[in-house]
Amino acid sequence: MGRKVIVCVEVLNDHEQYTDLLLLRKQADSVNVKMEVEPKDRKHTEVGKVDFEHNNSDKGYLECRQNLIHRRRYSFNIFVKTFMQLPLFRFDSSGGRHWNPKNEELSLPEKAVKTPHFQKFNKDGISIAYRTEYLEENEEEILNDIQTSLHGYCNECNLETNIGGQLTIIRQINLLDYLPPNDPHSDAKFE
Amino acid sequence: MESLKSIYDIVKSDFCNLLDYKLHGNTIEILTGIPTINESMVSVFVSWDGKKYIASDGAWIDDNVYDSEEVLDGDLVNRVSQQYRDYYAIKTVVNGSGSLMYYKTCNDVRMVSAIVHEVGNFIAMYVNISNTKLVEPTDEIIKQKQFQTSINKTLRHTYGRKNVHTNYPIDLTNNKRVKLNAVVNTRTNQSDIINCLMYITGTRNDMFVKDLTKATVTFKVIAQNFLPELKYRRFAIINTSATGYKGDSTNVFLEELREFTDADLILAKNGNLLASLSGVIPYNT
Repeated sequence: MGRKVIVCVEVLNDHEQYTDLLLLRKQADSVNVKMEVEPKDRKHTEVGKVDFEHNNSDKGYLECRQNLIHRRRYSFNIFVKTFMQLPLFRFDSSGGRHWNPKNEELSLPEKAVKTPHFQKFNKDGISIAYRTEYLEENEEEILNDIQTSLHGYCNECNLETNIGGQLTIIRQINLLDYLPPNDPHSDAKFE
Repeated sequence: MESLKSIYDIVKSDFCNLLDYKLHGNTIEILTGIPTINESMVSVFVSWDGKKYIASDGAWIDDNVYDSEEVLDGDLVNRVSQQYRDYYAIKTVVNGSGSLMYYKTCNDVRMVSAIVHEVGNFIAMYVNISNTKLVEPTDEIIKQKQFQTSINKTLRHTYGRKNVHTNYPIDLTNNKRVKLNAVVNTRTNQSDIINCLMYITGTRNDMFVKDLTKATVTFKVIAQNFLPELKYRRFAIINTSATGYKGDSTNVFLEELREFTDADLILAKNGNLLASLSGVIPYNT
């Protein structure tokens, strides 16, 4: 309850372990992420999960979520629940800009990080959004194709398949690979 | 004084540099510099439909793109946001996917920045009030909210979100008004039915009994004052895993409640309903 947790205590207490979990190689137990419609979800979300092993010890999972109506709206999260409850590392394709108010080294415009962006924790246990050169240069391609985004995400957090390649998203329902722009005003009748 | 003026120049330039945009088909997303207290920033969507300019929240509030916690009672959020809506004269419309959109329009391109500014500030206020913690929630409130949330979710899943109104006041005859935990609109044999639902839970026995008596009185008032042209049915959902639920001492109140419901009491354990909801409240038969 209450406001969003701003400080992640687990990361604050053991930032070294957090950095290890984030950066060291993680191997998924499959080559695919199978997306399925979440049965009890009112927001029409497709969810895919795949387990991974970190450094042959810690176990975690990758969770991909995609909105079926606003298909350019999707996120990736990796969790290692034995270490922390919050996602270790996340990616958001769209949504509001993340506001990094607590980072005192950033100038005002730098505090606002637009989507698509990654989010990780700093040594103070505070969630920081950031964009990489990869996101800057491939923004349009990333928004058009969830698969491209997943590759970028897995490179950033060092996650690969059990045979050392890139994870592939597969789905049950047949949807276009190209994600059209979501024009929020296209299906509403304004007075 | 030149150096003081240069401070202003920096502030102005940084404020302006906060603005950004993204294109979405025929709509432009204006990324404003307005932050919210849950580390997000407000976006306003603008388009031209050939007659007027439209500035909206893109249904982001209703779709919870701002990731609000709704720490306040939904009723309080509604009341406060209604004041903001009135103040900014914000209109609403439901889009094709059933989400509520807040918007303003104008005819003159010179006024676009004014409506973007107003809609942007409205969004920030709405998101901020949804994330404001006025009192430390007690264990009682947390448990009650958890129960309400899980039942509301089941109702929306079963009957569709358009047909489910939670925490909903209904007007009766004789100027009476009662508030229900949920109202579900269904159709049976060509006629519309307003299903009135009350939830019974409580960490202590007296809180549980309070919910029971409140539901009984509410249902009694409904029976006596419901608008004659409308059909209603009354249901109570009992949280049997609540620590305040104790068989013997609550029996007398449960018996009384049964008198005023139109079906057997609906039992829920650990937030899950024990019987199929559509069996009790039929939909579209």
